[in-house]
Amino acid sequence: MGLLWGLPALVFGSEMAGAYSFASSADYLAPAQQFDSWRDTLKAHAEEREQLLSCTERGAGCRGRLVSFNRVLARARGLSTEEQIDLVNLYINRTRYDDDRPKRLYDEAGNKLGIQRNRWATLHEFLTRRGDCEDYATAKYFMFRELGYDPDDMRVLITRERNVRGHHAVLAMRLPDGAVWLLDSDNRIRKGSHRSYRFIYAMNERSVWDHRDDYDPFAGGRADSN
Amino acid sequence: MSYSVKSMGKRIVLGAAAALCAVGTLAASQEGERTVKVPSLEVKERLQSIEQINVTAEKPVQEQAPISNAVAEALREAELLDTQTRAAETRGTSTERAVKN
Repeated sequence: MGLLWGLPALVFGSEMAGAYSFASSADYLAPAQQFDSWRDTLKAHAEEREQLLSCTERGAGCRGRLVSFNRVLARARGLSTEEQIDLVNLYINRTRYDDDRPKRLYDEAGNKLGIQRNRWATLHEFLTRRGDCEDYATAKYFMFRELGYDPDDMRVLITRERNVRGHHAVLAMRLPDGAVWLLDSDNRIRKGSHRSYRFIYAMNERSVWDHRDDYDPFAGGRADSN
Repeated sequence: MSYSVKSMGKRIVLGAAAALCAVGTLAASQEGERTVKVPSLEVKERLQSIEQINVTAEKPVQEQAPISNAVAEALREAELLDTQTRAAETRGTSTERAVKN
């Protein structure tokens, strides 16, 4: 019986016990520019940003949720920090979920080129189409950046959770008092305990952190794919 | 022999040896600016390993009331705008189809 109770700890590792911390630099891995797929998304977002912010009224090019996005942004500017966080979390979570499962890539002759896994959507793509798991967290990240939040106080955090199949993404935010909140796509904001999460890796526009404590480079990397 | 160098907006006069030193330092700093940071093999492997992680979990949304009237009002307004946009886009698509037919 004792072994059964111990199993979740074995499976989920030691990080589960504590809250996520921005303080430790031990898990720093690399500058964000070296994480190819994320760098491409940051670049694309920078290119689309002007058009995104110009959609204050419905019209040419202002499709999907672009108009409501700008209205919410304007409203949020007059609110307290806690209200801003609540508003952005609930607003972004109202976007319909779209699965981007891995796609097999082939050349014109039908030869398999590889597998495309995650594609991080830009905020524009998320608001005009839909998004999947990680896109909710990145959309919140970009929206808070528009509200003037410091990138050093935010990380898109990839996690694993008990009772949830597959990897999941949340937005970790450090508040002025040092508290860390996790904004989840299920509408919840985890303020104190982050016990149900195991932290895998995190990123913002500056850096990438690898939180896996059992990484073995000689095992060819742990793919963790589902 | 002496050389005149402009540094931090001020003109200073250097002896020959000091001037050679200054030129060497300047060349080194320019070289430094051209340096491109390349990830080590281990960092590359870890980045590739991270990139392979497929983030797909979908969690059911929990009903959560907004924390204030201001937040609720902003969400209501957003919902209304989204509904209007969807309706306009649907009308546009129908019109396009009708024109094509």
